[in-house]
Amino acid sequence: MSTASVQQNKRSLLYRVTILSLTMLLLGTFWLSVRETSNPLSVVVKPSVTREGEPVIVTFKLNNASPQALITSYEFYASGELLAEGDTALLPSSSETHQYAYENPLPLGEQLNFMVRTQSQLGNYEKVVSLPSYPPQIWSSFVSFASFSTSLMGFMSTMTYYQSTFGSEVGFNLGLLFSIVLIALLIFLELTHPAIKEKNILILGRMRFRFGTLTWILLTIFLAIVYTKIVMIISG
Amino acid sequence: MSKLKMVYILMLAMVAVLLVITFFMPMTRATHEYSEVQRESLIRGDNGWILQFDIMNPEHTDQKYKIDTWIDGQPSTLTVSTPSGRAFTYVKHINPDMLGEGVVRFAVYREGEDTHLKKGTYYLR
Repeated sequence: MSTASVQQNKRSLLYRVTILSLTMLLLGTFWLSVRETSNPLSVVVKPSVTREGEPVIVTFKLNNASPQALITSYEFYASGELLAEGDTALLPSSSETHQYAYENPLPLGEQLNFMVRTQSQLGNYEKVVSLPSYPPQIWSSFVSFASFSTSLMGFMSTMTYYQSTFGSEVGFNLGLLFSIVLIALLIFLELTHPAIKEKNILILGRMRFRFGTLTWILLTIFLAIVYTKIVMIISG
Repeated sequence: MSKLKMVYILMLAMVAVLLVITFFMPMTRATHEYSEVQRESLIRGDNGWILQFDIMNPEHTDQKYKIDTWIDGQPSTLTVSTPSGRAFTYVKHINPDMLGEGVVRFAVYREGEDTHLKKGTYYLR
């Protein structure tokens, strides 16, 4: 085998390894984001920074990761008072979701506390969520900034933010724009290929190089948009 | 065999494993064939409380379910029929005027069975 052929094979293999790495990254993050948790109890309170008059949604999930059905008893406390209790049969490898939604009557900075306690053959579990997680006494400008950024990040990870930014509800569709630009760039690259091959046109060569890089960047962003959309649809 | 080729084969195997655990396993996972209560939620609004949950029927036959409710000890029963593979959403609006102590109990049974699928109590204040 000639040296050129060996080099070409090596380059081709290197491309495949790169593509496989990207595929593994995408599949890995996808799996991590959609896999079922083995934690027997999880409690999530939204939003992470509560404000007076805004709705608060408390979601707790009872999980049964074991291969047999479980009778699970639960107690749910909101601000120190028992709000709900019950018992339920959880099927193998299944979960049950409970939600409690209400309008927050407390002013900004006042602490909300939620606790869920479960009891089953697998043991007793307890989970407490306090919002904000620090008492109002230590409210400071730094914490204020941190809570603002947390709130913003929390909002950015919601479907509402995603739909308002990338979704079809807005007049212009970012995904469509990316597709059109990508198609235009690919047409340009394809059309200029024979021209470059036959003649040494410096300007076209430079443009091809720059647009080639741009195409890869846009393609990556486009794939990320598609991937995010799939994950958002699957997860909720 | 070159190192690069070995890395390539190893990564190919890892991608295959990831594909299996991400897509194939969830699709082939045995589905439950028992009725269950899911997505129980309680919403507190200006006009009272809304209690809501789904009764899932993944069984091969249509099922009848009995939903017993006690609002401050006052019983009421509802029997519903759910076709195979479908779900029934139970929604109960609880007016604050209906409440004294505020103790709301409910239990869901498959018709003709004594063992409940789900039993719960709410303390609405």
